[in-house]
Amino acid sequence: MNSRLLKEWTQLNKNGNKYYLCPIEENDMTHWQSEFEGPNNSPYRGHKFTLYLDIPSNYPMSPPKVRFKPYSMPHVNVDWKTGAVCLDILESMWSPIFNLQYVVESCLRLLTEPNGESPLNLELGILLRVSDHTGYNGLINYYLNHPHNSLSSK
Amino acid sequence: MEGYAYEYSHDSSMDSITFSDTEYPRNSYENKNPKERGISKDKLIKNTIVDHVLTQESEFDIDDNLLYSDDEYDEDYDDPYMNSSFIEPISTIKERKGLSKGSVPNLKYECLTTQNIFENMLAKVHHLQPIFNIPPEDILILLQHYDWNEERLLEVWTDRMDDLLIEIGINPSSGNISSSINGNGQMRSISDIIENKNSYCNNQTETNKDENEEYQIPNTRTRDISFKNNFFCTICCEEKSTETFSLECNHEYCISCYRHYIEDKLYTGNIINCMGCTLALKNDDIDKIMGHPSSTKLMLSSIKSFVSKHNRNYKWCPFADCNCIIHLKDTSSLPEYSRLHYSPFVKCINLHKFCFTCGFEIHAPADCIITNEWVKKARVESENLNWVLSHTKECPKCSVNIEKDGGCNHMVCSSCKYEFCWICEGDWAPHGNSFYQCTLYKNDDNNNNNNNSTNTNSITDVNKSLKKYTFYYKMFNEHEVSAKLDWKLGQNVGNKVKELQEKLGISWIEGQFLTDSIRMLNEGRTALKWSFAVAFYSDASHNLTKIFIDNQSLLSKAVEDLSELLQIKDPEIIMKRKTDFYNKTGYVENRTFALMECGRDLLCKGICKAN
Repeated sequence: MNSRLLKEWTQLNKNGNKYYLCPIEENDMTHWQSEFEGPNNSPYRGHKFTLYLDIPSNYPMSPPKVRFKPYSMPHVNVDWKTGAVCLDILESMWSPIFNLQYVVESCLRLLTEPNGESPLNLELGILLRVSDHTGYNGLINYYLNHPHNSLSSK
Repeated sequence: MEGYAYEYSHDSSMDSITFSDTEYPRNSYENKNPKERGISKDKLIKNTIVDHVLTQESEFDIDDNLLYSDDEYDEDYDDPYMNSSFIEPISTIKERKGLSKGSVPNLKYECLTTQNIFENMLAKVHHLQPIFNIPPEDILILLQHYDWNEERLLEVWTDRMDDLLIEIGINPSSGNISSSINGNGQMRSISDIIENKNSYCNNQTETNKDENEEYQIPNTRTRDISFKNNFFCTICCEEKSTETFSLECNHEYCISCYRHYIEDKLYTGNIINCMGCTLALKNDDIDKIMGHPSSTKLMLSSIKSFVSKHNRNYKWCPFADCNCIIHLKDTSSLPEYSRLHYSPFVKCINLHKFCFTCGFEIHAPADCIITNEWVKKARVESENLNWVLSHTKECPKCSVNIEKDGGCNHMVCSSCKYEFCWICEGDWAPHGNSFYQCTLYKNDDNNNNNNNSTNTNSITDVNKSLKKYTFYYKMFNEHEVSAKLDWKLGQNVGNKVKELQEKLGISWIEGQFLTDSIRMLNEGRTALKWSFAVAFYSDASHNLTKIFIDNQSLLSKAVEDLSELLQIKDPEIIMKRKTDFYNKTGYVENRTFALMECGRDLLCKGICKAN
């Protein structure tokens, strides 16, 4: 299945790699990372984020394991401490047709469309559920400006 | 016997699952004899054995009518078999006469195999077929999607039939059941995906309508395997001449990618979709791709997830290698059972008995709470017990267990007065006057002495409770070991009965007193075993506890007597002592019952309670 990853890599280089999606080390195709800025229409605007993608050996039959850099992403569906992402297409809804770029795009879309149904970050989840947008955005801002603060949902 | 050998294993328990797409005779299985339905001699034999046992045991009433009385319908009654007409209850066993005397209602349950459940599911499919008027395979997928909940499916069906078929992936789109194709679909590469991602990836999770319109180019080919030269597969990104598969949506992938994909999904029990869209693969397609009837695995995992989703009414038999499922129709009496400290014991077709509430083996006189505590404690204490075993030693002469509570290695056995060295377990005499230290391990022991002196108090406390537990655990364990031996004995009983038949011309029925005896012995043993858990948690100073312990020793004696009797090998002596067998078996039965009632009394009065 390695040819699939190589193919994805060449396609990325050919078509312009706007999310800086690449293998962390040149000769190791099992660990990738991506860097992107927070979308303009979200509280993450103006901040840079790093996403790590670990590719399982049976990719693309199994989805990659995706996490943000720990203590960097205050998001309802992201674990603050570990950076783990809760996203349906990375679990039950995964299809081998999805590629790494699509995974990154999905994570990016998650930033503008948080899903309050399955919160990993409980504090933000509660604020989202009661529709306290000021509090929600405020807390995200606080997190973003104190990136290594251990303040977190327990 | 040729054909399928029906096995009680998860993997091969089902065949004849698939329907062909074009013809689906409504009676495809109803007309078949059991052999063709994949139930072989094995199972028939097992059934007859059960029948025999049931007819032999007068206290087991079989009442088919009870199973199907509709007035027991309650709101949690989530039963997929309501309309199945051909299901026969395999066994409906009432609680033992003695134990059902109280105010506890009898349990009505049936024992099913995965095969039974699957047949029931098929029955449902056939029940719905005239209403839906679509191939049974499609109904199977619909039912799978709705967790076999017929009513919910019917509700949605009447509401929005066409949308549902598209949503679940049975039809590509409403006006487009006939096939569609795109000429270059097979050559779609990653770059295409990226370029078309709005129409491609994004829409995948929603509906595939747009997609079908986009790629709609007339073609005659439908879902099938075909061979392609220089086919580029978008999953593995390899170009090769290979077999490919595609559904009506024409998302075409190489067969090896499809196989990998399906293999992973077979164990989830969910519907398997096309990798590119929401169109569902039917069992037929799965078998075609995999090259062998793999859809049985999918059905089996579907059944498994069905059982675990309905675990209030359905329980797997907990015994190893037993794949029976007990289906309790009416769970409303279960709280009454626990209130009165009874346990809802059920028996599967392989005669395994277990508690429906906690899934543990039959554990009377203990109730589920005591059982749970005891098992948990056993798990924790087994480590402590190891400590005991490594810190106590047997007297080299008389084998009494000795615990060293002081620092001195000069041991005098309190039982046989033998003097020996704790370290080397040798006779003390050669150690002479060497300051009561075995020279070999002098330093090591000095350390031990220091530790001992600082912790003496806490250690004695721990030891006290440990001692108590160890005693009861040993008794419990002893009976468990004996029960296992008895079980082996039971395996041979069949041969013994045969011997009686052959050598002495005794009828099979007449020889059944042996089977009865071994069954009672097992029951007595199990009760005895669990009674030690009850005794451990009981207030030892209470009078009732003393009565309980008396009962224990009476049953213990009765069980040992019966066990001894069952060791007799000579058929003639067995027949001569037939009345002994009857008497001792009856006595064990009475004593077991007495012990169980006494234990329940302890529980009801709160004399026995988990900490």
